[in-house]
Amino acid sequence: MITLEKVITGYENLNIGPYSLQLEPGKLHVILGRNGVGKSTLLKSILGLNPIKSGSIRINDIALETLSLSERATHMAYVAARNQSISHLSIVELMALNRQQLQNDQRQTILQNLGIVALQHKPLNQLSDGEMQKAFIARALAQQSQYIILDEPAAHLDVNARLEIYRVLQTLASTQGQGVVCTTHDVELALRVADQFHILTPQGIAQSGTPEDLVLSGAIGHHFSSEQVAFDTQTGSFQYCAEAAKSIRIAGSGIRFRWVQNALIRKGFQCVNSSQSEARIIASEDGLTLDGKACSNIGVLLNHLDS
Amino acid sequence: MNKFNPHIVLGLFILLFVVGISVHLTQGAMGLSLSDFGALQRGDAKHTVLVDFRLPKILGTLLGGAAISVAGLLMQTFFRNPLAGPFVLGISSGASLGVALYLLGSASFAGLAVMGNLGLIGSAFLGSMAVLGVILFTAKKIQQSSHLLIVGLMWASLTAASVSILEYFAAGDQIKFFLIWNMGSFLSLTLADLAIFAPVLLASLVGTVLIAKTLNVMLLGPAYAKTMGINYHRASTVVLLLTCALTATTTAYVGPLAFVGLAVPHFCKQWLQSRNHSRLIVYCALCGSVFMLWCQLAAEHILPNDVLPINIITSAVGAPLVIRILLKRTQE
Repeated sequence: MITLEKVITGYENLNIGPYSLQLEPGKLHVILGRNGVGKSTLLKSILGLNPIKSGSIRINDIALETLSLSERATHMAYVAARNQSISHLSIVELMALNRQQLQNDQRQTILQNLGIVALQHKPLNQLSDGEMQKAFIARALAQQSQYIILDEPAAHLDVNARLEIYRVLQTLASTQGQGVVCTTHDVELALRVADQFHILTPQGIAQSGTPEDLVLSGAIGHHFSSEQVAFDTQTGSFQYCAEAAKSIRIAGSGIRFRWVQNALIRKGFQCVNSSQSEARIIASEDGLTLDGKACSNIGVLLNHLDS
Repeated sequence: MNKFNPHIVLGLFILLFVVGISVHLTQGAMGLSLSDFGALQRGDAKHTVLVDFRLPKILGTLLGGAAISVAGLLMQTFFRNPLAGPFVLGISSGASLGVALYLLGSASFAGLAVMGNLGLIGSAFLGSMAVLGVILFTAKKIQQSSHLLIVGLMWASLTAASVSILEYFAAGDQIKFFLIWNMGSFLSLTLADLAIFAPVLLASLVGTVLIAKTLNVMLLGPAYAKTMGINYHRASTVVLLLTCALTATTTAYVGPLAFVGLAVPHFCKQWLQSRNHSRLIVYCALCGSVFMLWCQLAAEHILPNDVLPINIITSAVGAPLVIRILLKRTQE
């Protein structure tokens, strides 16, 4: 267990905190916060890379500062947000940089879990961003530490790679019993995978808890909504809160109905669910009509509404 | 990407090594044949040529080439920048600056001149340390690799300025000594010089081999190194001291050697397709010494009756390589 008690950290003339939180192994912890709130700084303090100004960090009840660097390495492995692509260094060689050398089958298991067996001898500078991230996660896993700590592990990846990385992290926590701690500002994605949320504000951890509980308590909405964007507790996603000047009655069901709503909200309409006889728009698996006239697709519907 | 078989290249280098040394031993103003070596006697002119001139020159070339190449490798790893090198970053210029100031000083204060070679090395060491300090400071502030090169350029022009000062104030023969020294030469090395030159460089090279594993981890930068259990602060101090020892000692005796420290490590990485320093250091040392051996041969034999400064040769080979790396990086 990593325990932070009233930790104040930051830079020369900037204090952030106090932070108190507990990170237990076997879970995927996500430290959430807006850009610039100090997520990376806190992470670096936990790793011992950035000195803390007051408070205490303990790992399994031992104070972090009393642990030697090599002891720390057995507790925590690090994955940076951005990694320099290094020529002439393959993934296997990257994994072999750790002090602790792995058996070949251990190494292969890690590569398999990450889905990069075929890439293991490719030099880093020939990998895609997502593959690079996996390579550095593989290195961290090869360190065989109790915790793996990642700074924005998917910030600059495309949506597929992002989901894949988080899926891997989730599996690690649930099946290998490792503690996985990562930062992100991507609330929607984190909601799908995290075991534990820690919402960060510059004044300290605002709230820790199961993601769903934090949604229901309104904490997510409180900390992440702004004037233009609001967190929708129904869908678990952020929505533009365009001032709904026009309301429109709609009726229907199914997947087409859901996406018609999406289009209407995007165009600034407030959707009012009503009976089929009163609705201007009816959307269902059978078809799409506006004022009784059939529309071949949503684009046509929107054009008609505009004119 | 790897078009050549590394074993064949290694064989080629060993061959070039042996041939290079034999040519150096036998060719020159006085031709020597292999049969002469058996019949050498003290006081003999051939003996003098061989032991007092050619032997120091060959050993100096081998060690100097190896030292500057390994220093380049250290800097490229430390700065995580393929364009780093003792000459490009101005570490050699720093050593020049130190030597220039020392020579100027010894002209004004007779006391300094007594220190002789030790003063020369000391001033070169201090000069290179000063530049390295400034570059470290700059590298922390600016991450972009091209900026480091600009700092190197600045030092080069500072050195040029100090040479002008030297020229203005110093006596004629001191200017000449400095100018010749600044162009780089292995010809003035003596056996007595080697007594300091060789042990310092050998010890530094061995020291580099000893920290090879740490160097591998340093490739990933401070944050990773620290979280992987490396005392990064101590490790970087050791790396920088070794770099200074290798560069300053070589530079003090043979002058700044242009581009070797950049070109050789780059070539070796291509050659081995690896970043494993345990091997890279050895290959850089071998490749660097062979490269220097042949540059020296070229310097002696291109003109029939004259010896070119070695920097002309190393620049002619090294400068195009720097441009190639820059172009390749821009494409990426």
